[in-house]
Amino acid sequence: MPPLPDPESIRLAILPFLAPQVLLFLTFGLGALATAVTMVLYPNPVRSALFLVLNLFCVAVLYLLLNAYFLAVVQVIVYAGAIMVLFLFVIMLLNLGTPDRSKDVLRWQQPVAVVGGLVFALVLGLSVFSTRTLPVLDENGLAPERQKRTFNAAPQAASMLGMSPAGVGSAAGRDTETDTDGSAGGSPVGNGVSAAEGENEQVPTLASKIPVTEHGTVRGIGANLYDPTQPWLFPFEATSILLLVAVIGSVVLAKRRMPGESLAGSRTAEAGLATPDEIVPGGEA
Amino acid sequence: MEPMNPAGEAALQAATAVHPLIPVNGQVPLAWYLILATILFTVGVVGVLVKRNPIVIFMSVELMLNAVNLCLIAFGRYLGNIGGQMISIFVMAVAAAEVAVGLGILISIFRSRESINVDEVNLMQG
Repeated sequence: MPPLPDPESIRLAILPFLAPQVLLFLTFGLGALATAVTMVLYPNPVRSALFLVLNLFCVAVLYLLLNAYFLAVVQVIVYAGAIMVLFLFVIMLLNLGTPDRSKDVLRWQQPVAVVGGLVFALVLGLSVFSTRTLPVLDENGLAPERQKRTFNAAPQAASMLGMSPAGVGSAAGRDTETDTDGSAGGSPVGNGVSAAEGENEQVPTLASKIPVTEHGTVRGIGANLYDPTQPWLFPFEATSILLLVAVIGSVVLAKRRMPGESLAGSRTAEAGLATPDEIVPGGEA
Repeated sequence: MEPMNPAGEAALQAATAVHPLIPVNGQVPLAWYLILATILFTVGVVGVLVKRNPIVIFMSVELMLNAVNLCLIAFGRYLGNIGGQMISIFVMAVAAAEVAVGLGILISIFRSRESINVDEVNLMQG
């Protein structure tokens, strides 16, 4: 009989797994896994959608563990709230709540898909395990000094916009000035002088003053998102156009066609045929 | 490969002397997040390939996007960089747009043929 290991060594081996953050991760990580697998396995689309909501809640808790407070709230409000309601609405509108009993014409596809997925997971997992030096947080939850790289794209952004870097710097300086004015209430004269002095220097922006642990708060997200020295402002504005296009597109696609509005559509409807015109509105124009 | 910062490399080696899957300093290791995101992404991939109902396929795509978001935020946190959370915001916005347009297309297809089984929608097949 092999000698039993020392109880003290067992305690030391188990101790790292009993930290509160680790226990929370284990609970909600396993919850996310279980709900994801259940979502895929369930034949009923409504139940699948509800399990996906549970999965999104579990992932939101993991975002909280990662100090991404704003994103955790957005996950619950936008994903679990708005997007999943849209899913359930369409499921019930199209009366798809019952499992699909139509004949599966590609019977062999399922085992092939599962095997392919396992191979995919193997490749991804190998790439994770073959990376030996991953960054480690210290006791205060701070990233190691070596990995802290500030991403400053001011020169590239300036050359893209056809501006001189000094112009971007002064813009950043003005931004900082207004921000300090608003939050600290400093004297306007002193701020004006400091902005004039820092015209051609690298002025610290509001985003650079926010500690790493507060990056996930609303203040940290906003300060970084609207910081003209960082590359997030233009994608943010482009996202608004994307959402506008999506709204118009979904309205046009889901619009019910009035009788007599389209000659081609009514003719095919009489004949009981489906043409591309019906699926892609505007094609008959 | 020559280390760029010998002192920092040594400190990192000392910090990761334990196995990278063992929690240190009471913090969750980064590898756990990566492994969880990997499994969630794979479940999403299998869901897309196996399911015949396009709505469930969309939900599997949402699962994959969530796994990528988790990966991005975890890397951003462990590298002390805000970029991960910023890109996650854009991923969420693109996911919302994709769902809106996709469900509009599904309603349009359902109107024209009373069925949205993906195997039967083969109008654009070559």
